[in-house]
Order: sequence, then structure tokens, then C-alpha cells
Amino acid sequence: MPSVVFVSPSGARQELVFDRPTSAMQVARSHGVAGIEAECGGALSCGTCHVYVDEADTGRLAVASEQESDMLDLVAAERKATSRLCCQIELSDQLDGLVLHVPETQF
Amino acid sequence: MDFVEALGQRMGEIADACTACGKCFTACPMTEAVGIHAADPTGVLQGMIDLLRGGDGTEEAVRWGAACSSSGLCVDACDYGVDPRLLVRLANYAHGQRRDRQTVKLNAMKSFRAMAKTVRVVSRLQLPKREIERLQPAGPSQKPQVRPDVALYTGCNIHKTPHILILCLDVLERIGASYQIIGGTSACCGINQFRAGDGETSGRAGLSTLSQIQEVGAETKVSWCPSCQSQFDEIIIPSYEKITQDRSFSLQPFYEYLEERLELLRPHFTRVVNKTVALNERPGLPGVTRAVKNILSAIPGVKLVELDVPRVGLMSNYLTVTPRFKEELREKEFRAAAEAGVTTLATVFHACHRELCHFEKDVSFEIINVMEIIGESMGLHADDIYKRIKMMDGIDRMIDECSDMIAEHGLDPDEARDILLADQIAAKPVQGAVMERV
Repeated sequence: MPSVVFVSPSGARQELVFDRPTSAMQVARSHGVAGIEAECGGALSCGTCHVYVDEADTGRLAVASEQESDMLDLVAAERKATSRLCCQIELSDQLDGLVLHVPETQF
Repeated sequence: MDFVEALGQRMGEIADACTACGKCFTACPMTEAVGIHAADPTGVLQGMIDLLRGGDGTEEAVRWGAACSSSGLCVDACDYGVDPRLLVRLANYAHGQRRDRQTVKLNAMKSFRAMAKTVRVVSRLQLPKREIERLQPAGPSQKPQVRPDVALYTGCNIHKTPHILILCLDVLERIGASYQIIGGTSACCGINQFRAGDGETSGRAGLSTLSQIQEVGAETKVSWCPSCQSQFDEIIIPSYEKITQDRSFSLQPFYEYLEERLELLRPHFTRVVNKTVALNERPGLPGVTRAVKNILSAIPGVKLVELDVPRVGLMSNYLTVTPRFKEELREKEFRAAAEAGVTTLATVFHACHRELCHFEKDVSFEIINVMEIIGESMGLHADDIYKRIKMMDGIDRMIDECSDMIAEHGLDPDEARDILLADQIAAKPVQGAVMERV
């Protein structure tokens, strides 16, 4: 099965498999990934599922929508070129092995 | 058409329909407390119409919009088919929209995040993980295979007084109704963002929640929270209908759902509940008040007492902008309840319960929620942990009481302390800063 990897700020890696199309946020929530708060459940209301996409993977994702980009302007940790909200990352077989880094803070 | 455009269209329709007669302003219970009662009603309504059309309005119109407590006493005053409560809410939204876009969005997000963090921490300070998982299911992966009878939309803040929700679920189970919970902060009605003037995010949140409720596929869609109910009834559902032309979605207040099934409930009212009960009534959803009275009247031993006191606000926390007025209303109600010799003052809604329950140590009657009375008659009980904590003296004792839950949920003790203290000292302001004039 395809998987997605979450890397904590300390460098700990958590590889999580998924068996159907879903968002990276849902995978993180269902496995209790620390630092992915996702308070709004994917409604693009809170900006607390902020991640940094690994440099090697940035080209694999579609560009952020205007709404996602607006919300990224308000995230708690530094916004970088690789910043995304993982509720907007729809996982599929094509994104197998995607690596997402969790920022130091979401608040 | 998107959500913001749908809202804009409705604002235009209401502005066209309002004649600015001012009867709704005269009926409003909030005007004196915020010092605008002497204003010309027609002038205030003209200001509201100007706000709806994108103008500056007037100082009185802006104050009225910000002070609205959703009591709904204005609704029957209109002779022209306009819903004045909605008019005021939309005018207040229009005023909020006039700030710069980034500020509006930041305020909306901060408001949502603060609420979400408080709900998460305060609920976890009271309940172990297995109970949290029952009340706040994680999402789609936990959907049932079979369509449940009821999609129960809880809203967010009831999770701070979880004993009420536990009793709702236990009652549903007792009458044989299967259910799926949609709620917690991941199913937001969008009211915080709406009040901040961020229609785009409010719509995204509310429509996402509407979709979550629809996906359950239940025959009956029931809501607990009056704020969510009014946000859906007045803002989300009409906009959804404009966008999709689908007019099949509706939410029924939980107490009205129970009232409709009173004959199913009645055989389960097996225990005599010897209480003389006054209701902490709220006027915003009259159907709920009727339903609660009908249900309580069916419980053996319960004697309902009517208190002749003013009723204001959708819930108690809708009076946060007028704390002196709120306190006056509370004192009048407590005095009347004591004089009537009640054993029980029963809160209908969760926010009222949060704000009133700890006064129990100062009065001659108990302060409990309606669901506790219904539960008692059915042999059901859930500890009111929130009240127990709130009645303790000092934050140190409160935190000490919650130390097991802090450890079980891995909460940061300092953050838990700050959040609990803020929650216990003051209810979350629904409206904004204090508006009373000295």
C-alpha cells in the first residue's frame, strides 16, 4: 500500500500507509501525528495542519489554491516556499512516499 | 454563485424589503443596555439598510448590530415579512466586512482557534480517552456501515459540559434510535468567522459541515446547539439553497426531536422525579422552550413553575457585551426562583449551564440541565464534572482535580491551567467587547 511520511521537528520519521484516496491531514489525524492539530477538520479555517513539503517532493504536488495560500499567510510557524496545509494534499498512489515535515508550532 | 455572493444577494433582498418603520428596534431588549434606546427607530433602520448596501451606516446602527443577542423578540414585530434578527445579523456582518481583508481573515482565524483550543482542552480535562472518542469521533474512518436513524450535530461548545451530551446519547439509545455524531471543532457552523466578517471562511466551514451531516445519510438531522441551529437556519442553509437549488436540507433542534417522540419516551419515564422546576428560558428558539416544557410535564413528579422575569438572549453568553444587564437579569431570575420555592433551576442550553451552574452554592435551589431531569426519570446519570470543577475554590485545586486527565491526554499543564482559568473566569464572548455605557 502507498504511504506518506511525517517528520517531526526533532527529525523522527513516521511512515503511515493509506488504502484509499484521502487527505494527508486525515492520515495524520487518524494516526495521532503530533503537531498536526487540524482543528477545523479540513475546512480551511484554522491553518493548524501546516507542513513543509520535502524539497525533493515539491514538484509532485499541484500548486496551492488561492484560499489555501490566503490561509498559509496566517500560519503560526514561518511560511516558506514549501509550506502547505496538509488538509489540501490529496494522497493517491501517485504520491506514494511523500515526505512532509511538521513545523515547530501550529499556534 | 459562491457563498459570499449568495449572502450579498440576500442582503440586497432584505434591504429592498425593509420599510424602516423601526418597530423591530422598539421591540429589541438590548437597546437600553447599550445606550441607543433614545435613537429614532426609523433612522436606525435606515442606517442598517445603508450597511446592508455597503455603506457606513450610522453609529447607532453599528452599535445595534454589534449588540444583537439573537433574542428574536423583533421577529414578530415586523409587518412586512422581513426577519429583523437576520437583518441585524447581516448588517453586522456587512460592517465587519469593511475592515481590510487580511485583518478580517486573521480575526476570524484567531477567534476560531481560541474556541477550538478551549474546547479541546476543557473537554479532555474532564473525560478519559474512551469517552472523548465516543463524543468526538475522529471522522470519516469511523462512519457506520448502516445508515443511522439520527445524524446528531453537536456543535463545539457542548463538549465543555460533556455530561449533557452523554445524557443526550444515552436517551437516544434508550429509545432505540441509532445515531452518528457530527461535531467538535472539525464540524464548525462558521459563526465565529461570520461575526468577524469573513464570509468566505464562514461559508467554507458551514458548507463543509452541512456536507458531513448529509454524508451520514440519516433520515433525521438533529442539532443540539442553538448557535449552530440559528447559523444554519439563517445563514448556511439559505445560502446553500441559493447556490445549489437543493431545498431538502434541514436541522431539527434536539429537544424538538424528543418532543416529537414523546410517546416513545414516556414509557421510559419510570422514576418519579420530585422536583419543582423553573426553566432558565431563552427566547431565541420558542419551539425549543415549548418542547422542553412538554417533555418535563410528562415526567412523573416534576412540577413546572413559570417565572415572570424578562427573557433575553439566545444563550447567556450572547449578553457578554452587556455584563451589568446580564447580571441584573440573572439576579431577577434567581430572586423569582427562590420566592417561588423551586427546588431546581434547569438550564436548557450548555452555555447557560456553564455560566450559571456554580451559583448553586449561593442559592436555595439546585442548578442542573434539563437533560439531567430527563435522564433521572429514565434512570440515567452522568456526572456534571464541569460544575464540580467550577465550584472549587482556586485554580490550583481545579488543576489538581484534573491531574489524571492531564496525564492521560498528554496535555501541557501550564496551557491547561491558562485555558481553564480563562474559561472559568469568563464565558467566551460571542459578540465582542463590552458595550455598556457608564
